[in-house]
Amino acid sequence: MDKKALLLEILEEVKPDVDFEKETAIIDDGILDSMDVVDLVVSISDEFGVDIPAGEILEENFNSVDAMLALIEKLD
Amino acid sequence: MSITSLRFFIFVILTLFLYYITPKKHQWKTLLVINYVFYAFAGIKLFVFMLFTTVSAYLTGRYMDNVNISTNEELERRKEELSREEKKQIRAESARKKKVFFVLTLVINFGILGVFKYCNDFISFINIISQKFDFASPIPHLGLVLPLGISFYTFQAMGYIIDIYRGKYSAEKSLFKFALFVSFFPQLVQGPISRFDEVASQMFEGHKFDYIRIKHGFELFIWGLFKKLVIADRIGIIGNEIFSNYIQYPGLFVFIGAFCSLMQLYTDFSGGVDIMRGVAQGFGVILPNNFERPFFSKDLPEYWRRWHITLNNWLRDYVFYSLTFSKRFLNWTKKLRKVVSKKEAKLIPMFVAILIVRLINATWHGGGSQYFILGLYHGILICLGMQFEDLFRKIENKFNINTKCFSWDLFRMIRTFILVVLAKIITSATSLRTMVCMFKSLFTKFNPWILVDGSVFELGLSVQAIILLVFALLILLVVGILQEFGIHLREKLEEQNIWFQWTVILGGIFLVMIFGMYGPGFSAGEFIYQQF
Repeated sequence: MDKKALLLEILEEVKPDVDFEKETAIIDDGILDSMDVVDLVVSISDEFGVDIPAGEILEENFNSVDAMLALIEKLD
Repeated sequence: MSITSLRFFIFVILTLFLYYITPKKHQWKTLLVINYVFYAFAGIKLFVFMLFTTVSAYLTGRYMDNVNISTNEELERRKEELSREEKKQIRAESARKKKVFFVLTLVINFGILGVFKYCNDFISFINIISQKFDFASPIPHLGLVLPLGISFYTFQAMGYIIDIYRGKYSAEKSLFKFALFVSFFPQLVQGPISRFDEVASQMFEGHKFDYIRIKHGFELFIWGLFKKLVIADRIGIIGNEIFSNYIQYPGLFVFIGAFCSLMQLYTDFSGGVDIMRGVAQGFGVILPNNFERPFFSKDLPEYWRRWHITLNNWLRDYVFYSLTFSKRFLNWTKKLRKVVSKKEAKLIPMFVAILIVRLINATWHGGGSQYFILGLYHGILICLGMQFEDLFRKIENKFNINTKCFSWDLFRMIRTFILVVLAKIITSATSLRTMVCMFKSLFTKFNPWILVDGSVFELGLSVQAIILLVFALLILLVVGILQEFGIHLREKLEEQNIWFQWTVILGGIFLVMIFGMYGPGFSAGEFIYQQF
């Protein structure tokens, strides 16, 4: 499974019924709240094997699937 | 200097004049002097604490920034040759270098804040213990005067050094510019707790005199005065009457008292912040909003995203995330997975972090046991809501409840509002024992007729004052509903003819002057949040 598909699967598990591929303001629009972000980061850390430090939990890193993939890439 | 006084108003007019006659390049220097003059009004002796926070945060920030720069340069230079493990090692080494100064600065600054805020609470606690076991004579309270805005500027400066530690942005090179960020007077009295990367550049850059921006600021100023002087200082009288004489006021009176105290707190705090955001706008600085109509929240987590937003965001970014993404918590989650389900393994550490954050938030407001209980109350309710979320969904499905309609949202809003009104009993009661009595009375004395038998007119306010209060609360409600629908009155007013705009503004001024809580022997109450 490629990285994008895996990430979309994780997002679907965290918050079902959202078309994350289209969203570009996932945090700004409140689609994911802080509890969801924790859930998401723990799953990303498990599935991708990267540690996301608290300092990287910024709106711009989680507002879209592409931004999340870029963050994973950067920390890998 | 009270921010509802004429003296403060004259101070703002004079300082705006000084600011705009200064050449744009040097305006920030004028602003720094203005801030220090404002602070000097509060007491020159306490100035030293703000200076210490400024200098310590500045020096630590500069040192950590140098470490960040050299680490990033090394990672960039050796990008191709380094493995993932080696990169991790370099980052860990960088963190180790920063840690000593970082931790020391945090500990000393929060230590100073802690001594000022909690010393007397701690002495009271020791005295209770020693009295119980009869082994020492009571220790007298220390006559410490809380430096103005210490909670706000400490949180702001510490947020800055945490950001630098995390490498979020570069440190400010000029000590005086950094001092301006820490001391900006509109945010010293009641917050908001601003972030360096959001507001500092607005403070440092020069501004042209902009009539529309200053008018907008003035409108916000008047709106803040309306909340504080027309609503807060009036409704607070009812709350005080009930909580001071709780034995006379059983049952539903307790709920009315808590409702009035909560509305007083909200209008006092948000009103004060509006006044100061209006003033800041005069200097060309848009401070972050601290409230987004919290009483329209549908659950408690949403309530905390709308109430005292800047403090809650601070706690989320620097405490909640630091805990939940720490190695200790992540390892704990992994260990838990072996004994409980995957979902519970994620939830349990999160519950601990939520409880810690809610306790810090509550004790930020006061060190007594009632604030500790308040933190537990909110923390436990939020955790229970998350734990039983699936069960609630099942119940909704079982009873075919349409959860996507207005009536369901309204039900959730009312439920959340009742929960926060009940929470106000915890901190407004004069003691722990009183709090227990008031809760008992609320749930055991049935007296709904007090709403119609005229009893509410005997709570310290005249009939006319209560009618005025209801009318003012309705204005607040209507403005809130319009804002919920994305209609912002200041923007709408800007589209109108100038004579209409100024008729509304002058109407607002007269409304505040005539109906504000002034008059013989009456002065505006101190802002509740000023004490923090």
